[in-house]
Amino acid sequence: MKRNSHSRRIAAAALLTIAMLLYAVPVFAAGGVKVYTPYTNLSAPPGETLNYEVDLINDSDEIQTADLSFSTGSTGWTYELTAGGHAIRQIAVKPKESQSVNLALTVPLEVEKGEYSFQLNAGSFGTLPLKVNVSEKGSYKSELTADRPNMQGHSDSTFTYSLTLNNRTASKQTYALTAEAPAGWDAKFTVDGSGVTSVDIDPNASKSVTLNLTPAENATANTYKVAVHAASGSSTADTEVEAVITGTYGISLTTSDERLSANVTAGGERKLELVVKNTGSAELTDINLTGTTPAEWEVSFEPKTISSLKAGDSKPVTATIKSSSKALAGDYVVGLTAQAAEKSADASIRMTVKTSVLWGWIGVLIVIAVAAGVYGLFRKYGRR
Amino acid sequence: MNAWADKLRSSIGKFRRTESEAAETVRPTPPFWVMVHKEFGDHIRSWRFVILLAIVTLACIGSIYTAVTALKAGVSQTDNPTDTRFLFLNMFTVSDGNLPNFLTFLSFLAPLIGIALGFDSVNSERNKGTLSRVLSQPVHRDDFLNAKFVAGLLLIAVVIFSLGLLVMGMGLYTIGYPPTPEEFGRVMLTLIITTVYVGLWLNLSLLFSVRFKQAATSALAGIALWIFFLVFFGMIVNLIGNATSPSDASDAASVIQHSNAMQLLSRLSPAQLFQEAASTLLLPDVRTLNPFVTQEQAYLAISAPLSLGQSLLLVWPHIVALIAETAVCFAASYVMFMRQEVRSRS
Repeated sequence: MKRNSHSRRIAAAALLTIAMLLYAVPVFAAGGVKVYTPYTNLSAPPGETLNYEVDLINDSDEIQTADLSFSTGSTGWTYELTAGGHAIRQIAVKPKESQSVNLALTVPLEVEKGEYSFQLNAGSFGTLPLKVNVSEKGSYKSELTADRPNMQGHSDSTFTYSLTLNNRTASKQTYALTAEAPAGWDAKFTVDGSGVTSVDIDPNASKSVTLNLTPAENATANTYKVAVHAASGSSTADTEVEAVITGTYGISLTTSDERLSANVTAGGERKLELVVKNTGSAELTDINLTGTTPAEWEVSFEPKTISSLKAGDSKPVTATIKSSSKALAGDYVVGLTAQAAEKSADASIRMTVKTSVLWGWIGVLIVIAVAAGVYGLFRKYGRR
Repeated sequence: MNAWADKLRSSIGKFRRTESEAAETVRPTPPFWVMVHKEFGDHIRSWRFVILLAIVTLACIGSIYTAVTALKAGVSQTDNPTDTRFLFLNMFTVSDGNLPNFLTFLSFLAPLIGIALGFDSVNSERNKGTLSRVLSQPVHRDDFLNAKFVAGLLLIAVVIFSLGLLVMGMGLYTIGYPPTPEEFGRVMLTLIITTVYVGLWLNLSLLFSVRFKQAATSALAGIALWIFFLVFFGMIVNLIGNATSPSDASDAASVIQHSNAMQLLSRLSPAQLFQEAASTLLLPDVRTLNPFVTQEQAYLAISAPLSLGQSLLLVWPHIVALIAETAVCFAASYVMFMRQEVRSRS
């Protein structure tokens, strides 16, 4: 008998163990009603939303009704209880059946790392304890990062930086984008291909922003630091990009007296004094002088090429323009080009072709000859 | 004519008297200028001149009207309608299509003035017997012919410049802004060339009046020549051009050669010479008188007006030809006149 009762006790313990194995978190409430969810201890980063499906099981013979509530305990956490797509506050379960309720729990962005405990109160069904392990510390701020913050080029090039703007705050933010470019520089922001000055970003989302920096025309060789700000009403993010300018190329071609017009007799020659000047900050090499002339005109340069020209230096060149003897009186364009490997300069000279006055004088001679003939007639026939 | 012979006599008498009275300081008019004045006055008072002037003035008013209508409708340079640089000169060259422009009228009708002034100047005096009376005065024999020429040319100059200034005045009134000095110079040069051109016709009719005894014959000869050059000559040149045009139209060299030859032929006409010279002066954008501009010449050329000097140099051969033709005509009539016998009729 004693043994019998002992074995019965063992059987009861085994039954209990089986029951405990079957139900991970068996919550016993009065009268055979239970509340159940499978994952009760989850890990999540800040900003994440955890979804629980909570089953309410009625093993009793009566309909069970319960008020649902959830206690968050610590601040910043938000939850939502829904069933059938609607928020729910009270639930009724038929005998020998179960009902599901969805619980959405959102980890706040501004949160410390650690374990947080919560409780779902389901009235007569009992309570369901839940634990959330926050895997990292929430930042609750905006972040602006540049992929390649340092770029190199000469003053003609455009520097394009791709930036990533991250909104880790709890609300949607409108960021005003500014860049502290040096005077004369041009900074333009583009998002998705269109130019912008501000950008809207949803909470916990990020956007890539492109910054186009155009250096000032006369920017000298140097390293320029440009601070970039993204500021919304409540949060700001900053970063810094660098533009390294290696030098500028500039060349100018003009006449020594800066006059771009000249006269030439048809078939005649004209010498023009030109000046080739290096207006940049880097040395120019192999400057070739060429001309675009009307047909059967010729243009020659002395010297024809300049092997190198230091920054700021200038060199005189003599251009000899020979016009065609068939050129019409009036204006023609002669284009002169100084072409360096790096850069070129043009000068358009307006050449006014004048007719030779030789035939004019011959005409005058003819008139004089005729007048002399008439005078001879006067002498011969008149006044005798 | 008797009256003016009398006046001439009295003037010469005065001239002699003054010569004898050395104390007198007032210089008398030389007999040549007396004859010029008299001739000038006779022309102005003649019905013939009034009728001609009326015709020419009417034609000019018509051409001014057509130019004004065209300018108001916005027809300026056809290739560049917004170009108003030489708008003033357009008064002389544009037309709305109803009537010819001023230059065409002038080249057509102005020779009539010259012909009308000269065709009976010598033969009618000879027929009336006044020639011998004039030449019986102590004047040089050639002064008679010279006076006829100078008086006619003076009158022509007065008429041409009056008409030209009339057009300029109307232009000022219509367009509302004054001509630049260059435009004014171009117009004045054109008027001088017109005077020379009409002077050529005057000399031609003077030549006929010396050659033909009958005034009617000389008038007919002058008008025949006028019609020939202004109406038929162009047709004849076209006819010859069509007959001799190169068979291979793709042979550029022969086409150009042919066109140059035709141009030379057409320039035998004084009317053609005058029209080319005057229109080049009044259209500064004209850079060449050749009908062909080769690709080489046109490449990189800017469409810009020529300066006055360059325009003048372009048509200088025309001007020289006109002056030379005038002088040759005058010389011919001079020689013919001096060789003729002058007889008293009664």
